[in-house]
Amino acid sequence: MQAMHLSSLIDSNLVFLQSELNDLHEIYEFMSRQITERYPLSESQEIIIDRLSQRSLDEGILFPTGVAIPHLHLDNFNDTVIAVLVPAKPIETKCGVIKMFVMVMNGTHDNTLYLKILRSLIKMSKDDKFYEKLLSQKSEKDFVELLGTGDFAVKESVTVTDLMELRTVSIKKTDTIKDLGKLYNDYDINYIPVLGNDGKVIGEVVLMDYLMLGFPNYTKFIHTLNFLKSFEPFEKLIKMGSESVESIMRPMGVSITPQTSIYEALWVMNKHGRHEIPIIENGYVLGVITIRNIFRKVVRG
Amino acid sequence: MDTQMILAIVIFVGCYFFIATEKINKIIVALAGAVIYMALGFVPQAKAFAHYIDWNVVFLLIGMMIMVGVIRRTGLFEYVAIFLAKKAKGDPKKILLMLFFITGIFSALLDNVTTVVIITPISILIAVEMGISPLPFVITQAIASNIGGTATLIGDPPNLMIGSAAGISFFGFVENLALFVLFNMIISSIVMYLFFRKKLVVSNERRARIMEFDEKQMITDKGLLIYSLIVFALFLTLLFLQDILGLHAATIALIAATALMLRSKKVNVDDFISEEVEWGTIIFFIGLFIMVGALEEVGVIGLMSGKIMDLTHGNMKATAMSMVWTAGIASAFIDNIPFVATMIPMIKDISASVGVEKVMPLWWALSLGACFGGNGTLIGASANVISAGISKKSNYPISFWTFTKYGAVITVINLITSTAFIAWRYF
Repeated sequence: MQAMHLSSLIDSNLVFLQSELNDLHEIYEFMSRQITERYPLSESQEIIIDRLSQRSLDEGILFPTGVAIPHLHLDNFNDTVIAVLVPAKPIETKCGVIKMFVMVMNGTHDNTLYLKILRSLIKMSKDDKFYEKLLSQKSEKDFVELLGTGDFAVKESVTVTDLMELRTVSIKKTDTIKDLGKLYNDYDINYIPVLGNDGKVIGEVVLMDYLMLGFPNYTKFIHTLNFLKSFEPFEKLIKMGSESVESIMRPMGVSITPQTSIYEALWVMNKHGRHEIPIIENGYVLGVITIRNIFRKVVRG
Repeated sequence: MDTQMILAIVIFVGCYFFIATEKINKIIVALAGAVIYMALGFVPQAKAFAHYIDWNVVFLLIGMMIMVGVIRRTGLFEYVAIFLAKKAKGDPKKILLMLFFITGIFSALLDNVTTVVIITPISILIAVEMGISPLPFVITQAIASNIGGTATLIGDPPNLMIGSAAGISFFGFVENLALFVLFNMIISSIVMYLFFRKKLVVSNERRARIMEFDEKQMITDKGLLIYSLIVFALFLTLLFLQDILGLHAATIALIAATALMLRSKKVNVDDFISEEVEWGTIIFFIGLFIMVGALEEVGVIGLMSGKIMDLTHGNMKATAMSMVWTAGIASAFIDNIPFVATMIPMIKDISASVGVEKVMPLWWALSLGACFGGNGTLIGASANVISAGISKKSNYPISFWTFTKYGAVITVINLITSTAFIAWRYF
């Protein structure tokens, strides 16, 4: 496929700036009505709104830059339609602030195009100056033209950083096991990279390692622990609270770089039996990808 | 001595050095030595493969590894350990002695490393539950496995190699060594008891925890256990009848291994075999056999055995006495497998000149020295290294000297009794 520009995919009739709408449901309704009026979709508007509303914003719709990208695959539809809505004032939600909605509808024939659109939108929104300028546009035509001046080609390969929310929950090697437990409690995560004093990654811990701390090593060589009627492994875990994370972490295993494609990332995770993998550049952790991220943003999208 | 012989010795000593110092993985060293000798034409490949590799030993090892792989999954050994701990009413002194003897018995029937891999974790657990240091248990069990393994043909790799090379059957080992090994177990248990008795004190509360264990839960597959026990009993019966049946030990082990694998159909056989058979060990043995074969081929072995005969003036008693101590001391510091592999063709060479019957004491001396010698230091036997490793991983590290101060005393006692035994029984 030739490099295609994001702006060429956008119909300026479907760009709505300075919108006073501030309710998510109303916005979905408005945008989908605009789309259904112009394009013959296979689904009725009610069903479309219903399907859009089923997904919560944090399920791969809202990105940290404030761009919300609701998306639907439609049967028997052989095109891609993009509608843009910029609210006059950013909308506060429990999942974060929304500065811009980009609704994408496409057929089930080509999912890769959607991923590429997603990638270029996120790339655009990370360019602060350009993004702000775009948001402040008054005319729809100018909006599309300005978008056309940016280098946001819809490129071939979708890499991990293009798609993933970059989560940077990590722990220092000198922090304690108690601190680690607190992180596991506060964040719904499994994998935590361990950083050295210079902020570079030196190891990793997964929730299972943390939980298994209470099991003395010799128990791992025994064929079953059923015979122990009163075994309290978690007492030991609590007692170990003041020890450093460094003393229990495992050495760095597999990782990927920001340039790795999501397919490659998934392949590596499968090969090594991992459910999550860190993205590392020059020794620094940029984020962590989980199989759930990939499912939500690629397959379900 | 010609240049080929000198070169062969230099290569051999070099390989020994790397194996002893563990500067390079011993499997690679043994294979490298074998390959160099074959490439230089010191031993032709055809002869190395057909004549020098003792396939009986190789397949006996493979068969035993497969059998152990199945039996281990039954939980029998752990069941016995806990059963005994409860029979001892949680008294740590009695538990120490019972586990010492049961480790010796298991290790006479299986290889030493497998025995300690199973027994060490469960005894650390028992010790921790009793609130006492696990070190006396770990150390005595490693020692027991080395002593117990001496009793039978299949108990320890040196015996396997000696039995195969000298044509000594399973019954031959039991007849000659079993009672003497039992005697050494008893003496050693008394010494160990005296060493450790003060550390073996436990509160009533802790004792009660042991009594709460439910050992029956250890047996997760009763059908497999019964089947394994039947096959193992059959295996031992066939081994006892080896002379009458005229079967090699490897054939018997492979029969039992095949029968056991038939039952464990749930597991993927490919995975099972690649997991349970230690191919590294197998390659190590094959490499050693070729290396020693090359020494024999170029005449070094003949020269060495001639020197031994010169030194002892053909006196078999003196040769056997010094064999016990040479093998014992050497095995305390280096792997006893390459040592025994080297000694075997020398004794065979001597037997060619003085007769098969006259060298029998030398075989027993080699077996006792090499097996008992393993207790001499922490690095003397794989069982010691492995059990110290498990202990360390469980946060109870055992230093070289901690083990060695007990192990060396036991070894010296065992070697003294062995010297006396050989003098009394064979001369």
